[in-house]
Amino acid sequence: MIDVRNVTVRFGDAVAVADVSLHVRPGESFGLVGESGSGKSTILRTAVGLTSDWSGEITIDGYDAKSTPTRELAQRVQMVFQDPYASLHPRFTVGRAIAEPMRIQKMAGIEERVDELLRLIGLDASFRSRYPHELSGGQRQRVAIARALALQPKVLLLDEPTSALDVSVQAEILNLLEDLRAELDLTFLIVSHNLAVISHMCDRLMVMQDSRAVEVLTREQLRAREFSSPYTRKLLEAA
Amino acid sequence: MTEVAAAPTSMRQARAREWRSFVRRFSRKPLGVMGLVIVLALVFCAIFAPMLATHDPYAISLPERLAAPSATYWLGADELGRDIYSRIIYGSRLTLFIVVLVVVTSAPIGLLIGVIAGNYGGMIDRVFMRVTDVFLAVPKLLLALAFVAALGPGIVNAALAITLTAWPPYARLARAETLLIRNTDYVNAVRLAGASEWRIMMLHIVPMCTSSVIVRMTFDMAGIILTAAGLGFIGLGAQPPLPEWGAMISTGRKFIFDQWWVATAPGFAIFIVSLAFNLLGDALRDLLDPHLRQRR
Amino acid sequence: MSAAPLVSIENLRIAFERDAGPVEAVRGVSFEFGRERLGIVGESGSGKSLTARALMGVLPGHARLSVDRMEFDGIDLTRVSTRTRRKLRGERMGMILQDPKFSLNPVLRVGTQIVESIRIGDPRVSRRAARLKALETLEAVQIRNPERVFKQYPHEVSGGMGQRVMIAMMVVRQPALLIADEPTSALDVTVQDQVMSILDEAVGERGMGLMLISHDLRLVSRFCDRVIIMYAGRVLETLPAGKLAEAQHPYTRGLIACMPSVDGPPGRLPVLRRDPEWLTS
Repeated sequence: MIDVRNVTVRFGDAVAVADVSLHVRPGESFGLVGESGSGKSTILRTAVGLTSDWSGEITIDGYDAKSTPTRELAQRVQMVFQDPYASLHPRFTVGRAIAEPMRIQKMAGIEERVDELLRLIGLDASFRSRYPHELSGGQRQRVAIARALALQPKVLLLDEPTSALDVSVQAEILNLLEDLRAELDLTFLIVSHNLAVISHMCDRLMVMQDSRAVEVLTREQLRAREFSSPYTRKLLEAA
Repeated sequence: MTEVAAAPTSMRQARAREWRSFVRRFSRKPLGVMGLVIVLALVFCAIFAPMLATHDPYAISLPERLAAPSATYWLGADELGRDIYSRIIYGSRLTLFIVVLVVVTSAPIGLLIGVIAGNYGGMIDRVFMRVTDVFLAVPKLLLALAFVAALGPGIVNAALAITLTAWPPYARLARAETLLIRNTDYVNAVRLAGASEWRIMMLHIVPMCTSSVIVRMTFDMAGIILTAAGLGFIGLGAQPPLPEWGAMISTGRKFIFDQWWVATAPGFAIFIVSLAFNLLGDALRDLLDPHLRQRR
Repeated sequence: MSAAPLVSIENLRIAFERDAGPVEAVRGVSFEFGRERLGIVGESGSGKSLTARALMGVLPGHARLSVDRMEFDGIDLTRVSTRTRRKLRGERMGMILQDPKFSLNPVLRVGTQIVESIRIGDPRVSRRAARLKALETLEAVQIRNPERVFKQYPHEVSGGMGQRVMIAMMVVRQPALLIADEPTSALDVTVQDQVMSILDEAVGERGMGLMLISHDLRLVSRFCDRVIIMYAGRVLETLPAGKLAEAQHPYTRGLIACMPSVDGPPGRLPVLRRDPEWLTS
């Protein structure tokens, strides 16, 4: 579903991602774990065209990320950002924020779809006319998820989806994501610094350090402590 | 914040609620309210000038030349015996005309240039900003003077000349805001949905710039009034017999020691109105400026 | 706990004026503690940081405070002048905030700031002696090359290093009380433990009281003696840190249960059910 081959991303002279390859199967939930500066978020941003200076190859659902126009790629892959306080337009109501991607794609039946999406993420229809500053962090992240689902993508890229939230809210959002994945047959690529979140959510994971891939593990391997890198051990001890 | 206020049922109600909260916060700023009242009074004077004026502002009456303030001539009469009070009332129309004309032309031009430069970056940014720098490098009044000299004196030309000098700060401001906004995740999110750059700029970035532009506009109005009066003073703005405040001061200058009221009254009008715009701007900045707003 | 506690707070209330009327963010918090390590845990909006700020005397200007008793080492904080309060803050209380980026002055070298901090605490110390002491302290917080860090500007040091500098700056004055508000939340997970150990050691060696404020139950239980659980501006329960598993209150239990763990069972996480009764009972 997602194929990343020998991707290198540069920010000026600095190398943010160095020759990373990974493969995510359809319906799978794949985790990228590492600390700040490991390049894990950069991979996500590169896959959706938010970075410019990169080499290698990324295909999503058979579409080449470099050559496919964003408008088309948008119907296959969407992203949920880390900070729900910064990812919703402060002047747009919830309804408008969720409808915007569909307006861009000139879809039909937008109004009904907004109601349906709100239902899907567990907020009632009265939220349509609320502004982001009237919502809690968890509610905002739900809205951001609804917006990402508006175009019915098959792949969802989640960049630290719960790290700005309280633990009790984190549990609700993680549950919601699990339910959505099952219900809508989604493929997840999740980035987190929290190994516990990744172990809970992902079938397989890749550990990253200093812009390189350290190793790829299945959830079972992680739980059986069958890893080779001392760095993975360090992360595990800190979790 | 887990508890949420009673749910609004429509977009209109949501907007109305935001507006009411804004009005409530504004009403807690006495100086801002004072500024607003004076500005509204200016608008009122301009609209109802014929009813408020006691004399025809153009009626010459040489026997009353330079009359001191009295029951008939509230603020005295000028060198042609015209009632100064009535002229100031009518002059508010000219002041307001220039201010509005300048603001509605310069702010959108500057906003557009700044947003485009900030959003695209690279060559476009460099060209646009260097042009802006050139305009900023020349003193405002001097530049306006040069334009009026080229276009010919007159009130519309004066307004146009001021416009040409007034847009660059808006471009600077809008560019700085755009640089911050274009990389936020809420803009990235619509970019990922396949939005065109034009849509991103007009629908997502411009609304975020408007509050700082409005604040800047309010402050600018004070400056515009002064520049317009300055042009009028040196005879390049409104032409006689128009009761433009700057031009009135200019004629009053000759009698400043003996008949002080001729120059003082319009000077006072200019002072009050530009002070009012500054007070209003201060209050609006406190309420609207995104950087100050976070600290509340 | 010793007979005279280092800090005692009784019925602390903090309210903010809002359009709809005053909103109480801290609603009757009471606790005391001595030269120990006290953890205060709660989610956002629980009032934990405000409680600490009230103790330091650095509440935001529009906050309204009322308290029956607030004492620090026998000093009645409700009666002292602003000047004494400032002096107390400089000499006997210290605070470490979440992000060192915002607590260090960006235009002064790290060393200059520590030296300044020493000399504010005790103006009789000479510049030379202060410098030596600063280097010593930097070494004590396990900075390998103190000479180099001494000359660096805050933006040149990493987050973990910056937080160590903050700790050095605070402990160098030997305050009786150190308040750390989310000291490691902005740091990478592998650095968090190091920084906490350094803080722990610095506090332990000097016999200070440590108040650790965090949303992270695990971190707090690892480094503290006692834990206070706060919710919606109130203290729900106080526990010995080792006995978190035996927590009585459903909120604490729910908070522990809803955290995912590396070896936890797959499937849905238990969700915390907030009982409106917690707000009043």
